[in-house]
Amino acid sequence: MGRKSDFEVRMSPEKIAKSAEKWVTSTAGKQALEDALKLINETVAQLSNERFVDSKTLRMPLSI
Amino acid sequence: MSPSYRVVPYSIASLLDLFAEFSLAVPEDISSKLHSAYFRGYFAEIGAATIVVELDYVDRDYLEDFSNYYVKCFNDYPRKCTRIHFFSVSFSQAEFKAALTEPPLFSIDTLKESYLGFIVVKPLPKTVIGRTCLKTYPEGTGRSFPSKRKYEVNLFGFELSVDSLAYQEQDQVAAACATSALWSIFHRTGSMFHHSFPTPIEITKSATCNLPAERRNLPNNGLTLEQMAHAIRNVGLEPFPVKTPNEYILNSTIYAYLKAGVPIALAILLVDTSKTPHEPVGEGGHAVAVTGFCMKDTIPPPLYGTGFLSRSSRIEKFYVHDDQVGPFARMDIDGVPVIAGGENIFSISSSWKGQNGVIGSVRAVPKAILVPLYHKIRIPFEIVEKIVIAFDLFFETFRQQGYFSLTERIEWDIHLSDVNQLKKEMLSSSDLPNGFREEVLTTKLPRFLWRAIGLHQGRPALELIFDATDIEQGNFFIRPITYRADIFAILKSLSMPPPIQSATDNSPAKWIFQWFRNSL
Repeated sequence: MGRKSDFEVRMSPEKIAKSAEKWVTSTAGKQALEDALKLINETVAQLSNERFVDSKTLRMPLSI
Repeated sequence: MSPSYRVVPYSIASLLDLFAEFSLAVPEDISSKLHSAYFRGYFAEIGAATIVVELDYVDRDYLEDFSNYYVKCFNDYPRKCTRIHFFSVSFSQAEFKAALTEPPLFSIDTLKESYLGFIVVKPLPKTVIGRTCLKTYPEGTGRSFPSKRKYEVNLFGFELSVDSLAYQEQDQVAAACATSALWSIFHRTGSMFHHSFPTPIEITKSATCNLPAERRNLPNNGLTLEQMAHAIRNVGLEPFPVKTPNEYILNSTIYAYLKAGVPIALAILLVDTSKTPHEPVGEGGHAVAVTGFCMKDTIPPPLYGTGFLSRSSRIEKFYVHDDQVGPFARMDIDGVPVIAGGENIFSISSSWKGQNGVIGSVRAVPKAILVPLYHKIRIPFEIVEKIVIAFDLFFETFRQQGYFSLTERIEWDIHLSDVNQLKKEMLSSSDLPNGFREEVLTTKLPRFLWRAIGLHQGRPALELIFDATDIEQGNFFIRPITYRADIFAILKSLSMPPPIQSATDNSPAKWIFQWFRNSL
């Protein structure tokens, strides 16, 4: 079993849930989540555009 | 009776002499091939010591091309080839003869363990290198060849084998570069997904039957990606093309499929950088088969935007079957661009010679890859990547708030796998918490899976498993594997607060956080 570490005592699931509730309702927490969502959408959209194979590439002769 | 074999000490000179002797090529043509320089280095690295020449060898792929094309020429092209075998131990003709005629004077096991593979020499005027199965560079220290398979070889009754992936030079008749790349690829996918092994001429014909080229189909001047896709469909697989404009997309996409053993066709533009300005080589592109990679032991650069860390970004070189160079030729991801129209264009190194005659002065601009997939592998890599990128950013946001005792950002290893491989690794894993192994091993899982392994300081901390056979609109997230019980508990707690629930539900990572919220 072993003794719990300071981190584990400090950050038990109950304490984390409470701390998270407090943080996400704060201005900083709301902004962090909003920024994360925006960044995810931008990154994923850019990757998708870059990966798209156009017909010119599909018809490029590979003749060497 | 004329001898049916010959034993020769290995040297590059003796090898090139054999190429010339058993083909219709002149020695000058043989020595001027890029393959000659490539094989010099390759055989030195794998330690070739002895050659056994097997005369009058019937090679299935060459015979098919012969029966479809060469036999109809006015010239009498020979029907049979020569197969050259390589060994890493030295022995003489007398010793080999003794092994055949009486109980062996040297150990058969020594012969088996020292076998390095073979090259079939085709009786043609220039393009002489036929089916080639050679031992790879040693794996380990970052080097990996997931696409190799076992080739059984019977040499006068000796049962030998070599782990490799077949390679051959284009003959510029039945096959140009694209066909040769596909031929190598099908050698692996045929054994993975149980389809036929088409010969080069069969591949070219299937590629062009419904999408004929503007010029002649035979002799073949090359294929387009569209035609290659058609050839892939003809063996019962599904072609999946992806453009590769930068290092991240090239590395991440190739790694995701190659790690599962699927070799990939890479279409490149060759650019001669010995000229000013840099000039394209020839009028079209070139195709190679990506067969392996080498990873360096440094922290990968973060992706733009979210700063996502992908294990694949550690790849510093790919190994490719380049039909004009040799098997497992290196292409370095070295960050050196080519310059076109005043712009820096992403490129990787090649072993081609530019106008200055220097190997490597021609660089390759990756244009696209083509992945041949079994039809049940429906979920593409980029969909899984999107989910993991979203999950990672939330996870990192929480980590920076101090909710996890992780000192560094998680690095993600995302790759295709199958249930047998996953369970085999879980069975021998020392990272799984006690009692959890049985649960994972006895859970019913689909045949093909996407694995996203979150690594912290090189050790797995959390793994996300996705069903690769499901449909994109559905919830194809299966479950996490938590290597650390604290991460499981913390993620469950963090998924509860309504504002986090709302944010994650509006992201691609919705199903993962829902799983934690609903878990016991």
